[in-house]
Amino acid sequence: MLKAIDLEIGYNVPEHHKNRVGQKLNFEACDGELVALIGPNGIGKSTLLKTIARLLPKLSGTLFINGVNQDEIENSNYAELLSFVSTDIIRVPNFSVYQLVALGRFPYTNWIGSLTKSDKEVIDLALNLVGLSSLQSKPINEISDGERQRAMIARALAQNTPIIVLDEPTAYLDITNKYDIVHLLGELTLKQNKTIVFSTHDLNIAFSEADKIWMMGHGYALQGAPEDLVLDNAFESLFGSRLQFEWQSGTFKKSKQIYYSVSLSGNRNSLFELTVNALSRIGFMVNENSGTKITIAEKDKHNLFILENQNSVKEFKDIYGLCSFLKREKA
Amino acid sequence: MQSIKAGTSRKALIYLLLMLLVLFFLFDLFLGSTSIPFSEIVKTIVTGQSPHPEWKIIIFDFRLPKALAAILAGIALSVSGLQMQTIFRNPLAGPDVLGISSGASLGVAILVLGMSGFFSSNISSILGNWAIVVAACIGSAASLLLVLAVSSKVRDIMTILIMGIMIGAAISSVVSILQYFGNESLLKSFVVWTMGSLGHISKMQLLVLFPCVLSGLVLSFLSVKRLNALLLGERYAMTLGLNIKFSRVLIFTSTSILAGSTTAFCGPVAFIGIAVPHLCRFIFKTSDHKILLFASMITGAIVLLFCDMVSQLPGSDITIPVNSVTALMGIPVVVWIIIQNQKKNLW
Repeated sequence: MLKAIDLEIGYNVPEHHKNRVGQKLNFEACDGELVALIGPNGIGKSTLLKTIARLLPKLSGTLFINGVNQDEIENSNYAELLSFVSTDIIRVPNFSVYQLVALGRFPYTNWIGSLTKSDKEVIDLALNLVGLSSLQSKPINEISDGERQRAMIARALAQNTPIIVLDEPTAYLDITNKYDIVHLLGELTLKQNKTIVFSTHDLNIAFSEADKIWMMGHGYALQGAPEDLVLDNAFESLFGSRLQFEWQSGTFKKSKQIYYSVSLSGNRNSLFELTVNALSRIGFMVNENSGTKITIAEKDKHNLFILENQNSVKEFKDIYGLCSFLKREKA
Repeated sequence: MQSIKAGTSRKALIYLLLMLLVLFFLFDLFLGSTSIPFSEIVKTIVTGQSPHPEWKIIIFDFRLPKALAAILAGIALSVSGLQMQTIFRNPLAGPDVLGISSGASLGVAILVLGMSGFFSSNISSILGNWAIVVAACIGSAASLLLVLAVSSKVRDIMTILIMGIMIGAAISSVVSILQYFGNESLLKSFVVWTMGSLGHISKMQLLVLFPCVLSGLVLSFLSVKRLNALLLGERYAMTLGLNIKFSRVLIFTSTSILAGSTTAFCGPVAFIGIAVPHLCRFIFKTSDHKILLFASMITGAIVLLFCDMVSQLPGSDITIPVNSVTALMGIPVVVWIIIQNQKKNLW
């Protein structure tokens, strides 16, 4: 459980001048919840997460970790309550995945850091949960970015803390890995009842996977289920009206400016939808009354796009040909 | 399974290196301008007696102290290099690169050239030995603190390295100024000292060097777990509950004692501190300090014994400064590290 009350964060710049990042923040994350922290670049997401991880001092307010005031927890005990995954990339040579994950046991091992049987069990479990058991003896320089991020998460798991905080865990990852990582975090909240907070720039991932969203904007901060924030139009006010929520797919899309219109006829199949999509990308809206007409037909088992207007008729083999012509001619 | 296998081969490697160490130690005793049969050397050392009294003197007063000095210095420099590479997260960190050895030189220069009035020109008294060690350790600690102060302001490692080199250069020029004003006989002994020599070490000095290296090593052993955590960088280490300030004090104290005391008696011996830890990482394929610390100790001793043997130019009566041998052997290793890192984008 994590709770921030009137928390002020920022960097303490020398001389009675505090570089305050935002305003007073009030956030809460319960046990077993996956929380996505979103907000535009430079709003202080990293600063907030580092303050929670105690890498930066807070400027004012209170932060409760499992119901205890952060100020009253010793550093060594703090490491048993909260683990942190940063954006730093570890590039140490000859450093195996197992050794990396084993460092998560740091708060529990003896003076020289030898691993007991139970330590090894925790490490094995962590490696298993992130699906890296088969790669445990590989050097971290020789695995992919997605695997390395999993290894960093396994290290946090080995630390065995009720709270895990991750700063942009999906940065540098491809789309499949992004979803895999966030999905993994979601699973951990379910299976291990952990409180997990992560920052991200990917609204669609935050929306589809997180139980709760902490939103930081200029001069305000909100929290709630993703759907609550959609109903409050919070996303639009954060990112401007150009970002629109598509109700059917539950995803965000940057709305395009519409310049021209065309009419489109043909079977209402996936090809039709894709063509509409492609046309909207280059600024054409489908309108039945337009003078310019596109017909999707079939000829010799191949798709054919027929473009007609007052003066001419043109045929195209594929969407690319159609779009590049339209873009050139601007109808 | 794999870790068990790796563990056994590592143990075998350690034994192999230990055997090599004993072998090199005996070879080092064997080499010298007077030829003494190998069997006689072993016999003399084991029994403490020799049919030729002059052989006994040569072995016990010259060759044995020198070989022991090589072992102690090799251990101390390698371990201090290992610790610095981890704490600075830089493969090129080492006592001689970041100005630690120059700091020790400055301490000794101030003592020998500046305050020579307090000590006789021949600094052989036990008080003088301790004074040199203390001066060297203070000097190395001071330059280390300076580099540390810079590194707390600047995060970029290349900048820290460049600052370290600058600090080293500045210290060297201060030393030159001291040399310029120093008196002639002291100057010569100082210059000989800067060339790095294992041969000039006396039994009394060994008695001072040994406890210094030992205490430095004890601190390193206490830092093993901290050093492993620092592989992740200070930020991660902090979230693991590591007390960064205390760890720095511990590791820097150990590094200053190890590099300072060695430099005090053997002069600035270059490149051992950088090269040996890399050699060990390469041989043992690990970054675990529990293994690397042992490995660096043994390998460091072996390498410096080997350099000492080479410096005697076997078969001739000439001995060249050991510093030039370590440089000639260490520089290719450093070049190799730079190329490797460029290729693999490490650290």
